[in-house]
Amino acid sequence: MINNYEVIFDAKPDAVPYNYRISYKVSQICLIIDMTSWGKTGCSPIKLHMISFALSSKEIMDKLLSFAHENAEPPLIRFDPAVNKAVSFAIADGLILQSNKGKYVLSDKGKTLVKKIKEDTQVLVAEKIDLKNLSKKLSDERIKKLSELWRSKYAEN
Amino acid sequence: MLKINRLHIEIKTDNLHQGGIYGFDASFTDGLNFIASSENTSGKSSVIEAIIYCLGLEQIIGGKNEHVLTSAYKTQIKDEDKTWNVLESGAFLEISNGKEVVTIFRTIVKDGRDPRLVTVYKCDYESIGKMRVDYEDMYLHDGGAATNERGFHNYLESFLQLKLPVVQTSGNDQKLYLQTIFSGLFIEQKHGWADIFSGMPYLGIKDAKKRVVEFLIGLDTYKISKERDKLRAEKNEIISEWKKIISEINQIANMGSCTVSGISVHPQIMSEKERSNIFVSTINKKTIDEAIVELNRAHDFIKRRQPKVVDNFDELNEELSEIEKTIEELEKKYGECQYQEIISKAAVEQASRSLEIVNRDLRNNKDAVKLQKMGATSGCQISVNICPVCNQSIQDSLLHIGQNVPVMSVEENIRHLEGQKEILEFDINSHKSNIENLTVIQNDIRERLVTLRKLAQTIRSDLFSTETEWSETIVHKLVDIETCIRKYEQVKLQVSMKIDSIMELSASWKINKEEFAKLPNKSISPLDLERMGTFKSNFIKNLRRYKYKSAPDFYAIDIPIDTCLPTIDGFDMKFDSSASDNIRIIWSFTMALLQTSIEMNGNHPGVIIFDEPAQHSIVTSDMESLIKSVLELNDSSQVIMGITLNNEELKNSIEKLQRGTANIIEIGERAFTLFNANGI
Repeated sequence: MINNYEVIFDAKPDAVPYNYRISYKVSQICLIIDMTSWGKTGCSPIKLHMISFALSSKEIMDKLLSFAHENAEPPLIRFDPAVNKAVSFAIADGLILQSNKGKYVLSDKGKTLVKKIKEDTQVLVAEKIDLKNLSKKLSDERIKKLSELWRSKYAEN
Repeated sequence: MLKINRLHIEIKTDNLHQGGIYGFDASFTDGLNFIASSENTSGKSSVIEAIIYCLGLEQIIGGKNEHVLTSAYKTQIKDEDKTWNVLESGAFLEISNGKEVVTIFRTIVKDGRDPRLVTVYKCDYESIGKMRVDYEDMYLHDGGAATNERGFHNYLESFLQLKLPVVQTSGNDQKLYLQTIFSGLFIEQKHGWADIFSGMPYLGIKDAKKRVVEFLIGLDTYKISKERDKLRAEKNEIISEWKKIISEINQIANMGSCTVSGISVHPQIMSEKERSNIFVSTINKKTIDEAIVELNRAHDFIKRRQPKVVDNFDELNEELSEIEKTIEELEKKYGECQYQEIISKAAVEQASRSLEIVNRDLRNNKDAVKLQKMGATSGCQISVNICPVCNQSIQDSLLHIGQNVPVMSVEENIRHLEGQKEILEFDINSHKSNIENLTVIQNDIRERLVTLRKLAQTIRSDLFSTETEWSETIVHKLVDIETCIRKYEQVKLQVSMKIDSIMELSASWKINKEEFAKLPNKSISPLDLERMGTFKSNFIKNLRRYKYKSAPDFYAIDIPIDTCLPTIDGFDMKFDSSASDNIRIIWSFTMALLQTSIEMNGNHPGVIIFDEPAQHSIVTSDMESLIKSVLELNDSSQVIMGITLNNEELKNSIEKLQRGTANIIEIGERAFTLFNANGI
């Protein structure tokens, strides 16, 4: 009997967490690059991952802040493929550029976007405060040393 | 009102002759004043600029402080074929508000004195230096110049008896600044003739032009929205006061192990009937009055019993076993209550934690919406769900999702979260009210247990006592019942007192509602419509008079209330007008503001300055119409006009004006002349 009828299932739309929205992540990345790196040197991919992950949780951000300010133990970093994907989108859309050292810098378009985000006092309030506290303390030097330390500690012969 | 009485400019130079002070000194009268010269380069504008500068309104000319003034004030001054260096300069302006006269002094160039500093002498110009006069230093252009006690514009506002409205700006709400208002009154030469209000400085005020027109012709719209704000504040106060009393009532009731029903948590208009529907009931669902009657009856009943133990030994025995049973039941019930309370408390905690997460998610999602919009306005393709590489549409997600699975938009997500938030809040509140109920029940059980145990003890001691003794149980019971009655009476009295204040609040709630209903719901009162109508008809009348020609049909001209600026067929009038007609529009508009304010009792300070109104190809007959319309204004207003008499026609027509109708200040070859030794 049932063979005579076609039963169609329509998929219900899936909820996507804000953290995985393209424009949200892309804007967040632009803001990180703007607020935590010096002028034209830009922001390295590792640093971007570290900060982007820290922004998702208060505890990790606190750890990262104490690492940046007081040389405390670094927090565990989760490298989220979504960040890489968002970076690709941002590059494709011309918001950020990759310098020849592999670091990311903002394009003019990216700068205008960041300016808009910064001017609006209602958006990304907590994030802006955290990034300001972090500001330029987390240098690529520190991150490099950290990865060297890990490498020498855990490298297998 | 503002009246300019006298202007005295002093420029000290290195010319050694007669002290080398150049300057300008003239008195102004009510009505029409001309500052006239035959050549166009003699410094009429400098004189007019000095008036504006002394009032601290130089932002209308285009900047702050002395920078906007001509070089004659700052560097060099010409006298015949020689030039002299300027050492110091400053200006006095005597003004009046109809009752008081003050003189404002502001330096232009002087070492050691900031041009932002303004000295206000509380007397006319003549008296300065001749007698002891009161004066006060005030400042300009700093934060607070318009609001601070020592701010000059704050002083000027109160001197001119203007009650400036507080208006919305890009930041906090601010006063409508004097600079903005006067840009509709003082039309200076350099760019004042470009457009209506073209001299208005940008100070972040929302709809600044509209606000100025509303203020000048005295529209109520702003007043009404202010009134609405006030009523809203009152309303909130009543709501919070109401809630406070309700919680006090509940507290009183809880202490007496009672509950109150039939009373709304939100304010409402209560009639006497509704009041009588408020019941205070005891724990076993009886009204407090019934409970009191019952207790009284029990009291009487016990009193009638035999007071000796021996008389009712069996009865006592029975009662004791009953009491013991009840105690057991109550203890069980108490344990159940405690258990339920723990469950509810845990549920509240969990739900609160979830709510926190949902709230954070909600905030972040709202951010995501904003960021998407910002990206879209910055021209990002990803923000409109288009792949920047292949231009195909993409899902707004960074996760790997099966190809055909649709994704919720951020807005949908927010709706979803808001739904969750509502559920959680409901959940928390229901558990909280449950906990509250349980506490009341527990308190009651605890109290009852105490009395019952005491009673059991007395019965036991009665049973074991000598048979002829007085029964302690009966005495104990009587005391108990009496305390209970007293407690209930107390609750009843206190609750009824609180309900009295609720009734009072209800009355003010009703008044507040009525006031709200009285406000015009469209925020335009009939009186405002009349004012706008007068303003429009004045404007059109002026246009006709000054021979505005660009519009074929005057009926197409309108001043809509939502912008307060003239339009033709719904478009800005400026675009459809020739250059000289644009000048006529500015004349008509500026005059109409004053005319309407006079007719409808508006807030116009009653002064207008036109610097060189004969711009472009304005013909003499139109100038005559303007002068005529100025002369028709009533005496209390003042118009100052800078004018170049470079053609005979105009010269004749001004000379033709009757003596006493206009004050003509003739400037010779140059406005600034060498003062004689007396400084005149």
